[in-house]
Amino acid sequence: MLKAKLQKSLSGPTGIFSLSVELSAHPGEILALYGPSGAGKTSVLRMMAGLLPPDEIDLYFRGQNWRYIPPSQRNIGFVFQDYALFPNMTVRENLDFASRPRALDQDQLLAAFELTALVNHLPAQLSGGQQQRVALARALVQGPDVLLLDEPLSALEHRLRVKLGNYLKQAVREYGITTILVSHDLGEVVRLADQVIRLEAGQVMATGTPEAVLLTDVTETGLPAEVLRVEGEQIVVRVGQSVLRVPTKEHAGQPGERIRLRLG
Amino acid sequence: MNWSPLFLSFKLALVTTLVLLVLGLPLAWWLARTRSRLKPIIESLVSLPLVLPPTVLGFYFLLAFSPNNTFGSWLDAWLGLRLVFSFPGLVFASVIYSLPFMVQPLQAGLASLPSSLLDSARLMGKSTWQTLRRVEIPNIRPALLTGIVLSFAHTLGEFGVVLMIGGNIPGETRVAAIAIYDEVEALNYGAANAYSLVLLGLTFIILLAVYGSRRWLGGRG
Repeated sequence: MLKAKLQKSLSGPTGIFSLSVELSAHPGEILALYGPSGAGKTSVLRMMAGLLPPDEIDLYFRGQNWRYIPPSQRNIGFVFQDYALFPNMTVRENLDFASRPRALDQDQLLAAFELTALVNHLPAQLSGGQQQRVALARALVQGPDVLLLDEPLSALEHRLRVKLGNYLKQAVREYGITTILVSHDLGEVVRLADQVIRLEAGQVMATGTPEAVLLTDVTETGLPAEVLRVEGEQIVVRVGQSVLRVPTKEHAGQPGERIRLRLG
Repeated sequence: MNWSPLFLSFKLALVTTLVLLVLGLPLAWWLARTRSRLKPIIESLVSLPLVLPPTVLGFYFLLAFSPNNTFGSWLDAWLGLRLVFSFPGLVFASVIYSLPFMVQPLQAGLASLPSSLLDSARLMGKSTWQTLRRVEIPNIRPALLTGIVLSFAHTLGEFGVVLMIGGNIPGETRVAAIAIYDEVEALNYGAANAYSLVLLGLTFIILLAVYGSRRWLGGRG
């Protein structure tokens, strides 16, 4: 299990804000960080990988304190937003370079990602979507314990997005990879994630299952919820097993009241 | 025509460029990656030859390496190195004089690589050396080429520093630039013209070949 408690002061478009996140992710599951741009999602991934120094951190993987483990020894597969493919290496060489002793079957991955015909191409000869597929295949090929994915399917057309999303989910389950996915695509999060953290301006707004967390407003129809308390312009509600904060526009709600929430 | 000054000039440029490659790459890497407070000081020192008159540099080298002075006599006594009026002295002075022409393009090339490439290699468990060899150097080949060409060309055109520390010893320190000056002083315009033309033609051919191959070098970077 991966457990993290992170804090860092970040500067965004609206000035300096404090990022404060606590999360735990299980092997074989996908935890999604969902929220608008500038919420601090990528910074969370980078801090967990050891690429960005936090102000405060508690980070444990399988009971081991990662604070003292250098990034090179954490066995993390990371898909960067800019893909970070090595421009001087072909697709095959990129995957070879990433391979570790526990590497997954390269040819099987290449076939699954529809890259077999492109193995001798350089990244500059590939489209954005093809580059993204190589980046994801490269992150998987090293047989990582932890996968950190920053918008890994954003450049793909719908068919491939669904196909590779399913493949990813299956691979994560099969190999027991602890996976954290950053996305601002609602459909992708609902389809892939087992757990979701909704992040806004560095603060966790809600955690739980995708259905529960992604409900954002009170409405006439929608999923039933129970109001636990009112906090300013937000109400804290229980949806199934999850507790979340919901910004309200019209309906303030009263503790104990049963309401319905819209997905969005 | 005596080919010795031309041969010496090219030999000096070649040796200097090779030494600069060995010294310049680690220095440029350190400058591109470090957050040390010493960075601006080292950068200023590296860039000094760009603004300093060559004769100033040559003058201080002459003083420092003269066997009549402490450092020069120590070099002579302990290492058997006599750097004034000798070819090794020319190489040393040329390396210092052309240092910014190698370091600055390499530093700019390394600094322009996306940090995600280095982060990615690091997360794959690659060492600093593996990342430098497999990722950084291959992806700064155009900068490497610029550094080599500029250092070579700059050394070839040296006059002030070479004259100050090397003097004008035929076959040892009399490079083409000095030979041209000598011939003009002696009103041998024909000989000066011959040296100049050969230098002009050869350097143009070298630059043409190097820049012509730039497309190929940049192809995988």
